[in-house]
Amino acid sequence: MQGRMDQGYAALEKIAGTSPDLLKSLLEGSPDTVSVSDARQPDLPLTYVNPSFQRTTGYASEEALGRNCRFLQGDETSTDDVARIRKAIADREPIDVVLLNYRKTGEPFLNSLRMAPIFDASGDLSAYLGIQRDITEERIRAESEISRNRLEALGTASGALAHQLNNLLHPVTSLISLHLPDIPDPGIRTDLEMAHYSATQAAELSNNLLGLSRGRFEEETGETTLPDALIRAVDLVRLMLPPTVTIETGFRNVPKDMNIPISETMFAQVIINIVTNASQATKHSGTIRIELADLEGSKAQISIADNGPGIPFGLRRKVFDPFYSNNISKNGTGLGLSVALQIINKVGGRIIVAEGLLQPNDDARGCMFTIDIPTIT
Amino acid sequence: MCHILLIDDMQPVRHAIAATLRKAGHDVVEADDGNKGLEIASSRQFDLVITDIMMPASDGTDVVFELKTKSSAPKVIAMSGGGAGIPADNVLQLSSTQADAVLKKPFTNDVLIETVSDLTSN
Ligand SMILES: Cc1cc2nc3c(=O)[nH]c(=O)nc-3n(C[C@H](O)[C@H](O)[C@H](O)COP(=O)(O)O)c2cc1C
Ligand SMILES: Nc1ncnc2c1ncn2[C@@H]1O[C@H](COP(=O)(O)OP(=O)(O)OP(=O)(O)O)[C@@H](O)[C@H]1O
Ligand SMILES: [Mg+2]
Repeated sequence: MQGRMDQGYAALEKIAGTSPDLLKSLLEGSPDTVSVSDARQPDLPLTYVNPSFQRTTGYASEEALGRNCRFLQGDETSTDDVARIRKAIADREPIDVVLLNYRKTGEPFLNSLRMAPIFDASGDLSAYLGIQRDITEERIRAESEISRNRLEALGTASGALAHQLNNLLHPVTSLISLHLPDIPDPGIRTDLEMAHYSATQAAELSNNLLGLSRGRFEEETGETTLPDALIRAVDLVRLMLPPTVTIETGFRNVPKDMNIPISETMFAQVIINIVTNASQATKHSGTIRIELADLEGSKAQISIADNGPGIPFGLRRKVFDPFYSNNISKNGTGLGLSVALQIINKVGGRIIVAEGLLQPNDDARGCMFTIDIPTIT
Repeated sequence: MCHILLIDDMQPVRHAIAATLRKAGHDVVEADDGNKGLEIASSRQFDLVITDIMMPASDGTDVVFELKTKSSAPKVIAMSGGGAGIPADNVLQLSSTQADAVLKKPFTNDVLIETVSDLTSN
């Protein structure tokens, strides 16, 4: 180890001697963010940040130098993560930590920070080296992947369940309608007709569940037909939420087959995320109204309105920020809306937040998420 | 009247379909798995075979292929409990292309009778 270190120093010394600019270029050109703090000054002020630091954080080097790097932290940064860094510095140990930081614009990002004490050739602590990487996109993709897998597993399970149900329902509908004409008593006939109707409805529900398992092998791309896929997604989300929440739908007066360029699982994910938020906002006891409209034959517009507390005007953009969460959902990651927005943006659509349904006993309104998706013609 | 072989491993399903066919005047022989069905089919001539293609015990898709490889193959209706989302997705599609008609459970008695008469009219 010591030998290799000496070799390293020797190699660097050679570079420093023959082409001193190369060392600088290495740091300046590094795709990873490099930051250095002076360990001999109080509170570890930054003495160097490379250009990648500005690209990631938005702070130019003249704004960063001389300050302790904690200016990247903010309201939602975990104090535990910061305490771990503090301890590592006190113990003169290297540390790997992933924590929430904020760019100069105030936008949060997930920072994967590696930090290490740097000892000079004589073994004295001279500096701290920090290497930062913005892993926000990675985390959103992973989250999206996880919920897609969850949905696909659910799709497979409900597909198998639907198969069983269909086998069980067949004799019910078939035998009732076979013998119905032979029953003279009109009262009994009415009862049996009702039993037959219920069994048919159950079969329909079971077939809707089958629809979800259909999109399961598709990757990011695919095609989904509205309103059918929306009806299926709403049926599914109804099963996922407590029965205390009321979900109303209005899909009338829309063309029978609007095709949108998203696979059904991705589409269902968007609907589930937004409807789940609405349900959480009303403490699972309010009303959610879901409507579908055809915009000039070129866009499908889905609106999801609730009568919960609403979102203040100033926060309507912020709720889409990754990791933004008010913890209405206890184990929420704050990624639900970021994932939804990413899926919709990818196909050239958009999501807008506006006023929703009137709150009970109040004249304030809940909020409404409107999703516009270009249709395939 | 047609001679029909009905293969399904679920007794209530088989009972309901057989009752419907008999009421419409057809002659129905029942088998509760694919192997027994093929055995019966090789000993007698049927106008039509109706088989479930997703029986856990014996593969209904084999039944369809087996029947269709014979020279004087009967007409075949394949029944499925749903179509997609089950492990045998593509096998199912393959066997549906081999069958003369596919019925997705639960289907109505009217659809069953219509499909049978469509296939056996000529
Ligand atoms: C070289 C170096 C780089 C650092 N980079 C970051 C960073 O990117 N993000 C961050 O939140 N903290 C970073 N820190 C940690 C903070 O500067 C500070 O050490 C930490 O908040 C713990 O100290 P405190 O509790 O006094 O704030 C870095 C520290 C050093 C020495
Ligand atoms: N219908 C709504 N009414 C009121 N606030 C909402 C509504 N939808 C979203 N929000 C706010 O936006 C925040 C972010 O939502 P998002 O779905 O991104 O994360 P989350 O629901 O907190 O966590 P997760 O979705 O990962 O479980 C929520 O925590 C909530 O404060
Ligand atoms: Mg959410």
